[in-house]
Amino acid sequence: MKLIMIIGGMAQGKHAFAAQFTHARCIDGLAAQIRDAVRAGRDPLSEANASVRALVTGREDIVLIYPEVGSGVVPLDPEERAWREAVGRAGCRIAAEADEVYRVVAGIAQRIK
Amino acid sequence: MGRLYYITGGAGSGKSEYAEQLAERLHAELAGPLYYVATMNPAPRDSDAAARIAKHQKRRAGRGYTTIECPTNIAQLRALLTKGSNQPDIAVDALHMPETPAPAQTTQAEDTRHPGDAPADASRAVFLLEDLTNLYANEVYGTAGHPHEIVAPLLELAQQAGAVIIVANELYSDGITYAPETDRFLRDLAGLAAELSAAADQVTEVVYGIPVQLKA
Repeated sequence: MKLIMIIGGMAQGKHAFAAQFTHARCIDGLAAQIRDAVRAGRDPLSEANASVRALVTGREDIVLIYPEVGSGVVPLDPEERAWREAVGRAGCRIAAEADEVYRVVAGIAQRIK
Repeated sequence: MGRLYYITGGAGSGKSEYAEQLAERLHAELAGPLYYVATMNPAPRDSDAAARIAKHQKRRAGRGYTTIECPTNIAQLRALLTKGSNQPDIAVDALHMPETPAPAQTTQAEDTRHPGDAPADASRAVFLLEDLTNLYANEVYGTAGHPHEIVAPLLELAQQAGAVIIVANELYSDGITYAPETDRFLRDLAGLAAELSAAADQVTEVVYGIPVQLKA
């Protein structure tokens, strides 16, 4: 199996780009799951790690759509800060595992790994 | 003439780890001193910041870094080069006091050189500065309206040292409109960033742990 990660900021065209990988299962929503973990006081990083392990041990190809959220001013709200940091750290972990990483900016996908 | 590296990235992007690996690789090549220039205020009131400092210190421990606390007045770093690495403690002590002027450079050895010349081993020194945002914030908000220059001293340091690595932050893509003061801060910081990256030999954005070379 192959793990393809597609990253990018809001409304940059990640889903449109992902549509070409018709053979793969598309997963979106890990950042929302991380948000739930932060809110519930669970360790967001270990939860994200567990999700990623489950993904990479499966048999089918996976396209993982994942947002970039860290390129702004440090949020005043501690929960926002913790979420942003955890999305960043989990993203590093996923990108390290991924076979291919594409970054979509203004509709243009650039393969960075 | 040394090399200038500009490393940027979002929160949790792995830019610090990348910058440290780069610093350690250059240090191994150049075999001179390796300085970690910490710009975050050493006594933060915010527990988040304290935890971040502790995490970074733990990671760097035992890897050859001499840590220099330098929350403002980056021009002081030059004292580390002109004194030579045989007396780093003198300069380091001076640098612990942010509002103290740079130590007077009147030793015998200095007099025999042309003004502005750095000792031979200055060209083997590696500086890792983390990070530009904190440094700029300290200058803007912590110097009672008398900020020191940032770009010129860093470019001068990069000329004389073996390598200077600047860690910056990507702060400009959250789509939020801030109060005029914050907006001004961001715009001015972006201006400094653009000046430094224009002068840099290498500009790298670290994206989820992957170095993307913007200028090589």
